[in-house]
Amino acid sequence: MFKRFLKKHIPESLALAATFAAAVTLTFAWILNLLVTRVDVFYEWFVFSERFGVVSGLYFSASIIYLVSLFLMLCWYRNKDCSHQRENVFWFFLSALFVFFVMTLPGIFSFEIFVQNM
Amino acid sequence: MFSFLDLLSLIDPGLILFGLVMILFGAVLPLVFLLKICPKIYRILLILLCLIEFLFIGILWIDLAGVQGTFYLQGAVAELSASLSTHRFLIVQAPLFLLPSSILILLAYKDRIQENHAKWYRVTLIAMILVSFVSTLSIACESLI
Repeated sequence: MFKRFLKKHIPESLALAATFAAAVTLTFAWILNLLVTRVDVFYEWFVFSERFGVVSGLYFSASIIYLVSLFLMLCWYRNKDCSHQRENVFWFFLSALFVFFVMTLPGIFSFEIFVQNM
Repeated sequence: MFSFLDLLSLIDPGLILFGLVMILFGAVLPLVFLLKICPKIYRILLILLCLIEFLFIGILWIDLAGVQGTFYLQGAVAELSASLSTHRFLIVQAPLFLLPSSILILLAYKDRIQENHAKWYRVTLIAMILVSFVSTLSIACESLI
C-alpha cells in the first residue's frame, strides 16, 4: 500500500541539465571552430600548448563550457518542476546536433567569401 | 625472422583502443534499444559507456601526441587528407560530450528509464549513442584517406 509513497525521487534536473549542456557545448564548439579558422586573433588565443596547437584550446574551452553550463542548469532546475521542459530541451538538443554536423562539414569549413573590388 | 618484440612494435596502440571502442559500441547499441523491455541492464550500459568515454580520451591523447607541429598548419599533407583530418578532430567533440551526458541521464533515471514519463530521455539517450557511433564510424573512414 505504501509502496507508491516510498518510490525514490528521480533527479530529473540532472538529466535535463546534461541534455541542455550537451546542446550548448556543441553550439559553442562549432562557433569557436569557425572563429579559430577565420580570425587570426582567436587562433593565437587558442594555442594553449605549442605541441598540440590550436586543438588544445578548442577542446579545453569546450570542456569548460560543458561543465559551466551543466552547473548553471543544475542550479536553475534544482527543486523545480521541469516536466514541461522535457520536449523543448529535446528539440533544442536535436537542432544543435544537426547544426553542429552541418557547420563542421569540410565544404562549409573551407568556405570563404571573396570580395572583389569594382 | 621477426621476433615477438618486433611484432609488438608494429602494433599501433591508438588502433587497438579504436578497435576496442568499436567492439564496445557493438555491445552498447542493442542494449540501449532493450532498455524499455529490460531496465535492469542499465548497470551494464553505464559501465560500457564509462569505458568508451575513457577509451576515447586515451585515443585522443595518443592521436594528439602523434601530431607533429601545429595541427592546422600541416602544409605537407594533401588538401583532401588535411581537410578530412581537420573534420576528424572537430567531430570527435561530439562523442566526447554526448557520452558523459548519456551517462548522467542513466545515473539520474536508473531502472526507471522505462517509465512513460521518461520517454523523451530514452529517445535522447538513443540519439546520443547513435550519433556517437556514427561519428566514430566516420572518424574511422576518414582516417583511411
